[in-house]
Amino acid sequence: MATARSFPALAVLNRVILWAVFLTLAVICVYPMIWLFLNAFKTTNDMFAATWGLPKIWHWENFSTAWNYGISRYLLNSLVVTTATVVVELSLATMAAYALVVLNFRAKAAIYTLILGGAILPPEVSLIPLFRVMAETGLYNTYFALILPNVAFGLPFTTFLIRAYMTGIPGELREAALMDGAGEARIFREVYLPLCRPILASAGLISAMRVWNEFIFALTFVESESVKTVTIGVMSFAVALRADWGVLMAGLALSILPILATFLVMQRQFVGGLTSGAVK
Amino acid sequence: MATLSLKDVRKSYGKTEVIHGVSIDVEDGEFVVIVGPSGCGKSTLLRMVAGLEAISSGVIEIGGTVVNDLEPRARDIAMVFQNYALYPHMTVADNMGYGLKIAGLPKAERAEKVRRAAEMLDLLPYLDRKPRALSGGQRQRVAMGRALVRDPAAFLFDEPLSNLDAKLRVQMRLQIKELQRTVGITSLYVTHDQVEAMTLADRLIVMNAGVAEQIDTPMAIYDRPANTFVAGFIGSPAMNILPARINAAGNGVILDGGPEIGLPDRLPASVGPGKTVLLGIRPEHFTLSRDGMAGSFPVVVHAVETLGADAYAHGRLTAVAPDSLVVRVPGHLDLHPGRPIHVVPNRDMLHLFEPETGKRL
Repeated sequence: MATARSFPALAVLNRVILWAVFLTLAVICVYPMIWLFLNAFKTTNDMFAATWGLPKIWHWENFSTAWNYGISRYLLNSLVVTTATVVVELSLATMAAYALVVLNFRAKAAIYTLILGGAILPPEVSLIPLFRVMAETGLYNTYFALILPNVAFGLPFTTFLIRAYMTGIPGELREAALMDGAGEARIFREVYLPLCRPILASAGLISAMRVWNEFIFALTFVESESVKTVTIGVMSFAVALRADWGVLMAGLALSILPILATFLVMQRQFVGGLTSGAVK
Repeated sequence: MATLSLKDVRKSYGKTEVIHGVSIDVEDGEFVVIVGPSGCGKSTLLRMVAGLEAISSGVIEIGGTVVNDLEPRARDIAMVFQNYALYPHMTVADNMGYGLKIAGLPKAERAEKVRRAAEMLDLLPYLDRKPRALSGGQRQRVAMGRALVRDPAAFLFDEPLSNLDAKLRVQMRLQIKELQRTVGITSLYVTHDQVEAMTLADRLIVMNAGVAEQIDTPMAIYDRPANTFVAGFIGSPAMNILPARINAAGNGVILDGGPEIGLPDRLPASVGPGKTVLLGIRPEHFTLSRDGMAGSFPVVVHAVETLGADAYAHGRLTAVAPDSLVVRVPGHLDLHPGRPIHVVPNRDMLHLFEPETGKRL
């Protein structure tokens, strides 16, 4: 009897420990962001006077100053690079996944292994050869210098995710469409793509987050202000604005806002995409 | 509408041949059912007609045209799949009209054809629904409707009723038969359910291990099965097949358990006195009798399956006989395991088979 009574107490203790761990993790992850957003509304003096407190006066103008200081250009560049990368990556990965799932051809398994093998290669080892290629082909300092390597390094995981999802689509649907008179291109477009919408959203979001936060290619393959993305942009921004911490914080806040908002809106797809890739 | 012809069609995967040369001519408007156990190759055969599987050798003709190398879309056939294969993101109307859309039919004409098919299949109230909002029976009808609107040369059905419950299956069976009679389209239907096969077919193909064992009308197959496989597969419960030998006079068979059963017909010359044979008697071809009645023999009952109107008595010729025997008896009969019943087989419904090859004698 005593043992039975001790069970609920154990369960409560378990729960308390679990909550404590999750709460600590949440604070560690979220607090820097809250700190960043709070200080984005302060002047430098306010910030050093009360780093942890709420702003006495909310300095909204920090954001407009940061925006006019050049962050707008970096945001636009990031938007262009991220959108183009996601569109190209999803298009290629979806077509590759369709072929890998549906069609029968020689060396199918070998090709899939080769695609997955790309995920093993760390981007850093390819920097020098890629730099040479960019320089030789005139791609250096253009959007393509960021889009192409980002697509290439994103393709393995995206293909893996979409392929895993597509294997769950019954093959009979394709056969029914074949009997209805459709060719492969139409089946891909009108049957598989609409059914893959959830995984396309997840894979797109995962890819967008990766590209938005990408640093090493952006640092190596572009130098002009007109193509710099936000990760590199805020670095030079930080150097220039070392004296005005409020504006600097506002700039940093602006740089993460688009991807943060996208993530908050689509977090369900993000989690769904990760699990569907994991279990299938 | 068209004829459908298979000439020595074979299929191999690597060195393993799974379809060993099937030939059949399906008449225009005929309903032919391919029946056989799981893995016998019946679905493969259907998929080869559909163009979803390539054939290894032989000729497939639809409407007199050889279609061996034609893509499924060029064969002018429609197929109903086991799992319906409805496009989950399209409405019922879009599902049914997809083939017509691909064929480039104007929207108004498409809608009219879909509406007419939906009317035939009682689907009008559901045209705007997605498949997930339909019951199993409704989904099945949408799958039929999708085939129907295209007005194809032939229908192919791949076990379309196997996912339905027993009651719905009977309803849909009748509906399919009526529909096929109404539209008169040549149909090839695959099932493992012999009741479905018997009730639907104009002609049956009984398949086993990639071979068409017998092709004939359902009653001809029931009355004169070509071999022990067909005899055992068609009819429920299966035909009793018992080892026996021809008596000295050549006018009867002696079962291993002892009793002798008279044969009505003159036997072929090859079946002389003393020859061992396999005797086939269907459970429904026994009559209960009193002990000692001419031609009767006892069956020691060891289990009874009661179905209501009928019951199936499972028994043996003696308490220690190795072979089991099933006898259909009236359902209300009071049977007790361990006690014998006396039966007389219907002499006109006996079947003799060669023990080595299993072929009909």
